[in-house]
Formats: sequence, structure tokens, C-alpha cells
Amino acid sequence: MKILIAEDDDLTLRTLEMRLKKDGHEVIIARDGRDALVRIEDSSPDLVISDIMMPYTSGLEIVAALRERANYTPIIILSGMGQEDVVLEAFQLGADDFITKPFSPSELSIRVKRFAMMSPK
Amino acid sequence: MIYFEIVALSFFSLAVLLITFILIYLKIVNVQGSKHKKWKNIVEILVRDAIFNESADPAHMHFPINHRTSILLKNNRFRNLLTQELLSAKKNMSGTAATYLQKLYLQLELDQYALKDLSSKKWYVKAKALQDLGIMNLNVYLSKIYRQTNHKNELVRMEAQIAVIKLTGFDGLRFLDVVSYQINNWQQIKLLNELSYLPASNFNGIEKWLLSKNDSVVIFALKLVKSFHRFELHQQVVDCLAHSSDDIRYQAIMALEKIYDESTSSLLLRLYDQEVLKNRIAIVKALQQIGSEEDIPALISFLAQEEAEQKRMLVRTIANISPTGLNQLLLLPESNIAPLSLIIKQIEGELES
Repeated sequence: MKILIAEDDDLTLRTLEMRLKKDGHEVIIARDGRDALVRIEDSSPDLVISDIMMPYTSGLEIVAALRERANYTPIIILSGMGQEDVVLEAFQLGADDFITKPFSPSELSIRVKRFAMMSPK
Repeated sequence: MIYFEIVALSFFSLAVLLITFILIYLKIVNVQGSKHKKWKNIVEILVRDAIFNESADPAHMHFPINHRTSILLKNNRFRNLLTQELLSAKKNMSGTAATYLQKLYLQLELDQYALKDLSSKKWYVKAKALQDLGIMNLNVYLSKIYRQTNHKNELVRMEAQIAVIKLTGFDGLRFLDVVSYQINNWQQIKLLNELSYLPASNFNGIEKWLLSKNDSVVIFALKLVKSFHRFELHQQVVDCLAHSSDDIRYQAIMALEKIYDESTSSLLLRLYDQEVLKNRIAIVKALQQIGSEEDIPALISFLAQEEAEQKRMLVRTIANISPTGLNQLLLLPESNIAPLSLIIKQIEGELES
């Protein structure tokens, strides 16, 4: 599966990248929301994992922008603790799942596997 | 002519000196940058090995550390970089990944440096050490951290109080038994935020804190009652309405709004006349949520004594309590006279929209 990760924290980004590559996925990385939108357009990933708080364009704006363009690529939102309201807003905009930080890489791996099983490719 | 040559030579020497200085400076920056890059690489490998460790036995896990890294660990700057990355990873990871990060922190004896910093006389060094030990969940140092919860420096105290909650959850609040310094509003918000991440628990101690001689402890205890809806403490909160501190009475009103019973609104109305303006506003706002039709006559009776802004709040509360409230107001002879007539029109407009 081709997965795009949008995350501004370098360590988290590299951790996610390494874990997902280890699981056999193709990974595209973006360090801010604006870059993520460009890369989604260019590479059409099968799944997007996006942090909520990012420079230029937030995770919520990514969800909204994709759904506005009738792009229904599944999106997993990475949220901090105590951001329940934002997560709810993300769901209303069209996000498919969320993971709260701190998260376990194994848990993320399982969630991604679920989307891989549902993916038509 | 000779003077010109001396001046020119001086300029030339200065220029050469300046260029040499700039070149040396750039070289140093370059060497440090490349060293930092190499260190970052070493640190990343260490942190990643910990996060992706697949050993099933964290208790006996030992990470292989090469000779170069062991030597680098003695370097303050390298150690700070490593500590920073480990803490940052620990904040974002949970489960076995978090356990292994803690294991690596302990194996590298970074806790010993934190403990050393804990004895520092510089408050910012001490505060940082407390933060690190809290993030790393090192329960073993709880007693050392707990001792700092009543430190004379506000920021050290704050970090210690947050750390004990990270380490022991609601039990960590026992520092409220002994804290003699005021807990400022910002710290109270931080503590409540830290507690909000914990699974709900019927923790003990609030009754005792409501009777504390430290006003900020009483205020914080009232905020705990409010946040955790501790209905069983209704009477103790009511007792706080007789406290000599305006701020405590204010918090008691706010708490009662969340744990009210059938007697709360009439009790607050009885206190209205003797309260300071801030608390009268709080009572009227609380009644918007908990008031009933029986409270309307009392609220109408307060209108005469209040200034325009408070009158507006009273009218809004009356209208919120019941649709008949505004009709009762319109029966008053003053309802045709400004400012009451204008206020009623405004609130009617608000209700229609």
C-alpha cells in the first residue's frame, strides 16, 4: 500500500516511516500540510496519516481539502491528548480513524493493516 | 606621505585580521555543524533501536552501546541532544516502545545526570530535571520529586507537582496536604489538564483540601469538585459560600452550578444581596443553567438595585429560565422606562434570533 505521512515532528515522522516500510508499505513523507497536499495530488496514496497541528496547513484542512475535491482516500488523524473536539471535527469533515499521541507503533501498524485489507488494490 | 602609508598598512592589517577571524569562525561553525549532524545520526539510531525493539522481555533487555557512543556520553552537549530526543520520543510513544525508551534512558544512566541536576542551585536546571524524570515515568525517584512540590521557587514547584501527577495519578495530589505556597491560576489549569488524561477515579482528599488554610488549595479543590462532578461534596461546597475570601466564594458558586440540587438556586439567591459584584454576576450566570420559575420573583426584585449591565444579565437569566419570565417583567411599571424597556427589547430580539 502507498501511504503518505504528514507530520512536522521529525522523530515521529521517521519512526512512522520506518515502521510502515518495515511492514512492507511504500511511504511518502511530508513535513507540513501544504507539502502534503501537493504530494497527495502528485502520487495518489492509498492512505494518508496526518498530524493535526502542522505548519501552513493543518490536518483538518487536509481532510477538508481532499473531501472537497471528492478525493475519498482514507485518512488517519494523529491527535494529541485532550484534542477530542478537534478529532470530532476531523470526523465530521471526513476523516476515517484517529490515533492519540502517545501511540504505540504496533497499534498504528494494526490500524494501517485494517485499511490495507479494505483497500481495493 | 608616510602617514598615508601607515594608515593604509593599518587598514590592510585590520582587513587581513578580520578575514582570518571570519574564516576561522566559519570553519568552527562548519565543524560543529558536521559534528552535530553525526551526533544526531547516532542518537537517531539509538532511539529507533529502542522504539523498534522486538525483544519480548523488557526487564532483561540490554541495548548494545558501542565504544564511541560510551565516550560521547561523557560530553554534555551530546548527552543533552540524546536526552532531548529520548524525551521527545517518549512523549509521542506508548506501549512497549515507551518501555524500551525508558529502559535505554536508564541503561545510559541519564537518570543519574537528572538526579545530579535535581540538586543544582539553579532553578531552571532543577526544573528541567524534574520534567525529565516525570516524562520518563521514573517512579523510583518519587520521594525525591515529591520533596520539591513545596519548593520556594514557583517554577520548580510547578514542575514537581506535574511530575508527581504523571507518576502516581490522582494520588500525586497529596502534595495539596502540605503545600504552603499559593498555586497560581496557570498552574491550576496545568494540573487540571494533566488530571484530565487520567482514567476517572473517585480519589480522596477533597474534603480536607476544602478546609485548607491555603486559599489557593481551597480554590483548586473547588475546581476539582466542579471538574469531576463530586455531588457527594455538595454540603462542603455550600459551607465555602461563607468563606471570608471573595475568590473562594466565587469558585464555590461555580462548583455548585455543576453539582446543584433542588435547594441550590434558592440558596444562591439568598446570598445575592450580600455578595460582591463579581459573585453576583456568577450567581446570575449559574441561575441561567440551574434556575426555575420559582426563582423569577427574586430575580425581578434585584433589578431595582442594579446598574444597567447587571440588569441586562438579570433579564437574560429570567428569559432563559422560562418563556413566561419576560411576560412577568412586562407587567412591571418600570418596564416601559429606559433602560429596562431597552434591555427587554434587546433580550426579546436575542430570543427571536
